[in-house]
Amino acid sequence: MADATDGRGPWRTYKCLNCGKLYEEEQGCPDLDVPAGTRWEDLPDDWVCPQCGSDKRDFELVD
Amino acid sequence: MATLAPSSNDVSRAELWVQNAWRPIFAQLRAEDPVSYCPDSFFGPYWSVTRYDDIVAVEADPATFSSSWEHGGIVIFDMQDTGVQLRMFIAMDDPEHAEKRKAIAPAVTPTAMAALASAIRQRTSDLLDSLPEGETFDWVHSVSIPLTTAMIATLFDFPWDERHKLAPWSDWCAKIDIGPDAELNAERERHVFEMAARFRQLFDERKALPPQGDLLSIMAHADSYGEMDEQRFIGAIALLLVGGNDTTRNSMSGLIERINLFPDAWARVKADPAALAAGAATETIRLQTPIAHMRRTATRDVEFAGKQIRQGDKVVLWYNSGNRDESVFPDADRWDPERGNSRRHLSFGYGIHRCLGARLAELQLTTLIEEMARRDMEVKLAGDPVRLPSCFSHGYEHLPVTMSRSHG
Repeated sequence: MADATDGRGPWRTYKCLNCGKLYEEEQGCPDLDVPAGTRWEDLPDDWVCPQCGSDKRDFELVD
Repeated sequence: MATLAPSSNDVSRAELWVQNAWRPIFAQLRAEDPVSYCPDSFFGPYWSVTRYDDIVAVEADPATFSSSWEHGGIVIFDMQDTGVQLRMFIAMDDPEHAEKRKAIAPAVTPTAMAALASAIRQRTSDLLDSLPEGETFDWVHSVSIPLTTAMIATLFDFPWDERHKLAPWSDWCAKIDIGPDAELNAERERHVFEMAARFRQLFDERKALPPQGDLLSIMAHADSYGEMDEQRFIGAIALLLVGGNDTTRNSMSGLIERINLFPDAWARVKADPAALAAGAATETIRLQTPIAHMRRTATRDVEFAGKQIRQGDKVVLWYNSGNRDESVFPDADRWDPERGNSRRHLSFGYGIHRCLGARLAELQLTTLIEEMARRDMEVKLAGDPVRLPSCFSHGYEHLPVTMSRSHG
């Protein structure tokens, strides 16, 4: 787990349980114009998986 | 549990599905031979993958397990040698798959769904209020087909007075169980080419107009759908038609079987639809599994779950079985709207090919359940369901019912 630079603990990775897509906070989500370093909780509630369209609730913390 | 004879693991046999007799053999396969080779069937030899985790593992490795129509596509029947090859993006590998899928995705975002929600509710309400009380009617043809056909017509902005054509076209696209029968394939081609000709006409009209929000217009103005050969065009239409039609239709019908089998759970849903309707919809989709299988083709020799799969082998993922894997869904045959992990079902697939229209299917079914609950509806089976003789489209020809509702 990489150290973060925002003073909010290490970067985390979340996985979509419907398709396996990873959301890595350190990378953000360029496909959906989410900048690198965007924390999971800072993603809007209506953000969806860029691969399968599932809701945030369908992701779980993996790392 | 008796050990399966080597010849009895052919789960593609139509009689298993039309007689609703497939559960025991899949339970046995999951327990004894979860990745099982069937050397001979109507569709030729194939591997069956029956456990949840193994299905996910195959779907998560599209480089090894191809979906491409060039290898035969995504159903157990090899379609590359027929006149209807269905070169749709779900039957492609990346990068073409990803390009075409990305172009369609804006049509099914949460925002797009929110824009459809009130029309879906109004249509559902009107239809439920029109149903006869005290007489037997067919739920499939009176509710499931009209609701899903109207939805598809809306999504495509298809001429409203021609919408009755959509369900038969969809059925013929999905009718893979005819196998190599020349006469039936010729009939299938006739229906599918008629569909393609009408949609091509509309596609060309939309292309000449400024972009609109409907699916045909989105496709007509997307670079990735620009230069499609005829089989790709047919595939693109067929995918959206079958994906939005047969699947939700059969879940809407499956709901009636579930509420008849589990009346206490239905009573709880009716008492608190705000809390339980969404879970009831998800459980219905899990247990119905309206698309029973998807097929992949091995692109290389690979050892998988202790079995040696050869390059070119047909690998069939039985979602209906994964959705009843007791290690994931305890008491798996029970319809439980309060089940905690119901959303983990495989009815929409897993991985890069997961169903794009999942959110729309959930919205339509949840709305139907909410509106039935609002009317305190009781829908009772009035005869035996007539099931499709298909190991692909898992659903119903007819579902005779009687209905009562409150008049408060």
